[in-house]
Amino acid sequence: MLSIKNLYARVEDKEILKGLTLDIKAGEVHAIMGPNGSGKSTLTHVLTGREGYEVTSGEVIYEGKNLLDMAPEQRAQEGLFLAFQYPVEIPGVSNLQFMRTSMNSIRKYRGQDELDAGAFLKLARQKIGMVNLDPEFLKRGVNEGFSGGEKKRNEIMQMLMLEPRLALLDETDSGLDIDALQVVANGVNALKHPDRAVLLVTHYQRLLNYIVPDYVHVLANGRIVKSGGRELALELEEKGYGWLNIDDSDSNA
Amino acid sequence: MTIATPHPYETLKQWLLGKAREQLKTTDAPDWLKGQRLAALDVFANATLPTRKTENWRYTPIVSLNSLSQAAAGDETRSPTESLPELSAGPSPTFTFIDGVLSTTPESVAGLTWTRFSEASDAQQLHITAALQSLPPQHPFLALNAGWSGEGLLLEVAPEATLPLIQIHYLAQTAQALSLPRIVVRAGRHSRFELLEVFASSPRADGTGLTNHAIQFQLANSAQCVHTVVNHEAPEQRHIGFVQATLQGHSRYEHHAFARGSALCRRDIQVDLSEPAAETRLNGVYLLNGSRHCDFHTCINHQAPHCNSEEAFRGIIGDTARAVFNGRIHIYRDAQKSNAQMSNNNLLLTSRAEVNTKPELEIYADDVKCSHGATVGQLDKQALYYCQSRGIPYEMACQLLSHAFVNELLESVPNGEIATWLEALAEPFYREAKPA
Ligand SMILES: Nc1ncnc2c1ncn2[C@@H]1O[C@H](COP(=O)(O)OP(=O)(O)O)[C@@H](O)[C@H]1O
Ligand SMILES: [Mg+2]
Repeated sequence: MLSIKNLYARVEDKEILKGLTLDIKAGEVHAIMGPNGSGKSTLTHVLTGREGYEVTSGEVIYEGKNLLDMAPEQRAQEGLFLAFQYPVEIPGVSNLQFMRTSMNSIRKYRGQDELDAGAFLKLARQKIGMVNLDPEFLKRGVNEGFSGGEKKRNEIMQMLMLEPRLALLDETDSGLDIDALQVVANGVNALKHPDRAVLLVTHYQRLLNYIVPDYVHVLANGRIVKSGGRELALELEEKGYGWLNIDDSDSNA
Repeated sequence: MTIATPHPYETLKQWLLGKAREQLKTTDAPDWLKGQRLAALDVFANATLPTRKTENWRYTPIVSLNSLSQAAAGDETRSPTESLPELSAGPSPTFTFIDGVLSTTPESVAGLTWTRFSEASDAQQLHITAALQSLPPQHPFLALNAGWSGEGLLLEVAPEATLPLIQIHYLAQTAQALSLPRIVVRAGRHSRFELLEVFASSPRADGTGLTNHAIQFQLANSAQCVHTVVNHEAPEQRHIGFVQATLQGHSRYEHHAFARGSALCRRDIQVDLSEPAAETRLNGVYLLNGSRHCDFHTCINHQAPHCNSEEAFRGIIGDTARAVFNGRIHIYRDAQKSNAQMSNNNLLLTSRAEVNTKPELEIYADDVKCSHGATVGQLDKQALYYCQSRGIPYEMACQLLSHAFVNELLESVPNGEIATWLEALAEPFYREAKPA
């Protein structure tokens, strides 16, 4: 589904990804762990095409297509989704209006009819229920004045509505209490499907108690330095990153 | 550009004066009114038309008025205007001015009387005279308007009356037309009414002229007025407008402006809170693209204690358009416990779009709450990316965010039908104005 080969990328003249290679197949759940500043968020933004993230070499093939050729919106329309580490507030645009515009843009790209207002509302109510948010949140400005936890739930709500082929979650678990963690985990588990894949970026192995990954990778200094099964996460939890011979000065794993 | 002579607009002034005098001669106005007109024209004759050295007009050159006197009728071409979407506000008594001439009036409306200036009774003459004479001397176009003898209209709202939505439509139809309508509104105690004024150009691509409009409100104790003004004219139209309201105790004047701007669009809004516990709210939205211009000069005079004013103007400026906002709050020495809030927020879509925003506070009382703020910014890049990451195409994301920027103000229009209609009026702007 996703094949990243020897990817180099820079942000504002600073090389951050330095030869990253990663393969994700349909049906799989991958977790990426790594010290702060190792390039995890950068990887997700390069994949979704954020302005200012420049790929200097390497390739990314998504579902047989060159992902890096696509505009950010087209990547989403092709089924890529990123749950942001820091979800953006958009005052004045209601959650409902935002999601409706989003879903209809994606449907249009796929040659489907727009959802009618009633069907859409029903869907939105159902999905917001799944993340334990009050339906009132649908009427509020996108993430406007939401608490950290509410923002993360809102990201999962969006993911559940859009049903992406490949979901990237960037530290969606950070700063969540057990309840919210459970909500995130349930959301991801509900999405699991042989045709879909998930890439979890996380700092703690805690989330992996609820979402069992098929593979765990360690990202350090812009590359995957170690890959393994879920036991690697436990090992990292126990030993930190030191034994991998990488600089983890600002890691607290 | 250099300004050649000490009075760069002398020719223009003489031409306007000639037109006004000619019209006065050929109009059959009663003597009292003729006297008022002549006096006002004298004021105009002695005034100096504003140049870029005139502080209040620094960013709004009136040079485009020159072509009024220079071009022969029909010489100018202009873009066809999109016709206005329907306002579905139910039956609503409507006055229509075509090229400044009152051409249709509604059937009778309970609680409202209307009178042409030329048909005013003795008592009404006094009110009209007082209104015409209360000219801020710094505004020559107000004098020109008062001196013009096209029809003026006096609207009187009976005490205690609650009116249906009243509309006044001003249509610029003929090439080079000079439209100088004058409206005086007197609202009795405890009356409540809503007035919608719409300035539009005929959809045909004729030439354009000048609209120089003035409306004055006298609100008696506890009267409540919601006044919405829509500028939706051809890009080449020139518009100079003036709104003034005098508020007695416990009365409330609410203003909602919606402007698309034009070659010259200047609107002055002055609210005099003359007795305790009067209240005003001034909201405005301007959406400018092409090379349109729009200038709002507002002035709120807190003359009495315990009055409130709230003001919020927001605008989006694209292409090479220019917006000017000057918000003046004047709190008199005796106006203790005044509450005044003002904000002006601007979104520039291109590097060649311009805005000049300036608060002007004059506060002579010591026990007041006064806040003001102005911002100029661009569409939020992070928010745009967030939209795109959800599959929303870039251009649509820009529209969504532009919409969000002003929508709060449009939604605050108390009449839901008007609010919805304004959103429809704004729609083409979001499609046309592209960030660059
Ligand atoms: N917009 C940016 N401009 C400059 N440097 C950045 C920017 N974003 C991230 N970086 C730098 O890139 C490195 C990787 O950051 P990031 O991908 O956020 O790491 P992680 O998510 O693994 O903590 C860090 O050194 C960070 O300071
Ligand atoms: Mg990060």
